[in-house]
Amino acid sequence: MENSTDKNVTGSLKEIAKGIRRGILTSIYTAKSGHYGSSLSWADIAATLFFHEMKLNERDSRATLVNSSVEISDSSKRDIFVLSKGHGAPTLYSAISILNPEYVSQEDLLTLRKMGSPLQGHPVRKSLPLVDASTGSLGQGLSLAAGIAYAIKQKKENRRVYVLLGDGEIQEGQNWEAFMSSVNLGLDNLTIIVDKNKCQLEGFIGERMPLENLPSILSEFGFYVQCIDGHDISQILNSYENAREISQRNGKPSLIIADTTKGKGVSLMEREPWKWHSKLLDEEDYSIAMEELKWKN
Amino acid sequence: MEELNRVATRDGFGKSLLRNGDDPRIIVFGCDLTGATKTNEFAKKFPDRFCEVGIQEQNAISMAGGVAIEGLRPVIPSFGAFITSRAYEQILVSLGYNDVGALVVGTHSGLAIGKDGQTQMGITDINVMRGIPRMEIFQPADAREAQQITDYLLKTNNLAYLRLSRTPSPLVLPEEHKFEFNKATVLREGRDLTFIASGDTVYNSLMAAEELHKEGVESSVISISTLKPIDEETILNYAKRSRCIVVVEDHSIVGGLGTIVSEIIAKNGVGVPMKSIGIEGFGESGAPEDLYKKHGLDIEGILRTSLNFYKNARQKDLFFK
Repeated sequence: MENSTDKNVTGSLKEIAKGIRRGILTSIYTAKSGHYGSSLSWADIAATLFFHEMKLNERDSRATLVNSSVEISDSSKRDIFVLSKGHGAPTLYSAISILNPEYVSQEDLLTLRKMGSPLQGHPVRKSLPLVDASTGSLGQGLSLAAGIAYAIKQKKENRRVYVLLGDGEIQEGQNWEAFMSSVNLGLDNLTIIVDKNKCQLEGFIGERMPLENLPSILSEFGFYVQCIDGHDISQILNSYENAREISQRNGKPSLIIADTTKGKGVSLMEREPWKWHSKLLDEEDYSIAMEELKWKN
Repeated sequence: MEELNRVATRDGFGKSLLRNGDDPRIIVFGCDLTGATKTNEFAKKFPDRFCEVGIQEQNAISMAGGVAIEGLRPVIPSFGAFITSRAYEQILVSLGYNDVGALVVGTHSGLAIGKDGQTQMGITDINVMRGIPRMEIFQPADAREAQQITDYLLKTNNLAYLRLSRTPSPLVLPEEHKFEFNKATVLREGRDLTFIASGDTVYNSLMAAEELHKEGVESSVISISTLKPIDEETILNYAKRSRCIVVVEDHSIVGGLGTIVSEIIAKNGVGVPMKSIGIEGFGESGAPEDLYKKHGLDIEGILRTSLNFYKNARQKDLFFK
């Protein structure tokens, strides 16, 4: 617990999250197409997952890079992440670019959504190291992650699977099949994170398909449920740790509902989050947003 | 032809699964249908590698995608009607786009299941599966071949759909027959007409061919067990040398073997008259033999249709010559 709240750790993760946000903005602005709001909302979750929580291969982190040539990271020896809300892909690409610029360089980020680029509009498995599943059709990612977790247990390996769902995405019925079976199959190596940014494409979830009692419903399903502030680094880190420990104790997957803001980190989006599912920035607003996310030391 | 032993193709699948069950890569999913899909023996013998998810075809397919991402070999059996339609997008995305292999098995295909009625009959499964890139499609002519195809598919990493039947049908292929990937089986040679059939309809086509012989019409009978890809060479060969082609299948006449054969004939510019006998419209409850009769898939129906079609084709031929 001490490590999680270590000020140096949270401080550097905050800076990493900011870097991820800059990459999101640059790539989507250049592509002139993409989902700013849905990408920015999980930047803190991405920073904490990839730079603290997940066990990755040595070559995945630039801190240990020694003249390495770029090879696809061997996914069979590390933890796995499935981005079920595939439209949040720019966050994943940006996080990978900070993790290891040999995987995704700053120039690569500018190829988002271009023909032939590995940075496809929605994630394509194996297009880049650490892109572990093709997603984008909402509702399938949790089942994919559950299948991966099941296979890892079959192989008796000590690896964990993380999956990020959108809160709008939960409207897809397949999630509820997967909620049921992942508990029933005792997938204690699975952590499910819900990016609760409260908006879907056409507006507020609360005005379309409100599900305010989600935590209690999922507790009834058998999950250990934690509700946290999805932008508070130490809360996120603690929740990962609790999820791991309690899963191992109760033999079930764990679920974290992370309360987030669509467009987090960019004030003009935070003011009107419902507008920023896939709306684009003009030049002036882009400069203002990038100024806000500038590296300040 | 003497009366042959009758066994359902699903039984051949179940037998192969059990026989190959020791392979630690194999993970079999259950959708509350172990008895119906003949996976119960596997489930009993290898409970650790049998993943029961209940009545959840969509979740089963996507979970299978995850299992395959981890390098194992998932097998997902259910009724063909449910697994290919309810879980179509999961097959496309979780298996197709994720670039993994898996064995999707659809039992209870076609009108042959009879009394359970239309919602239980897989009559569009070939049509929907064939649009998916990389997806291979197999349908055995009898239970022995079902076992051989399953043996083959369990050893590969292909993305495949295996179409099976519940109805016991005659062991129509010669005992020495060995399944070969993408190879049509010629069961009878005759210069006038060629039957192209798959699955349960191979036997009736063969019987109709014998009846035609009594009428003085000589026909070839080709059994197709690999539908995608398909042995174009053999089909073209017979299309060129016969006066007409008759495709016989227990599937919708839209998008099944008839469509596949007509595409081959059209794109190769072979001007041979072709007729499809299959399901028109939806299915319904009834005894399988009555349903086959209604849709012209019984021996008598195939004989009648093919004889008329052959006579017309011949007449036109003589007229134009």
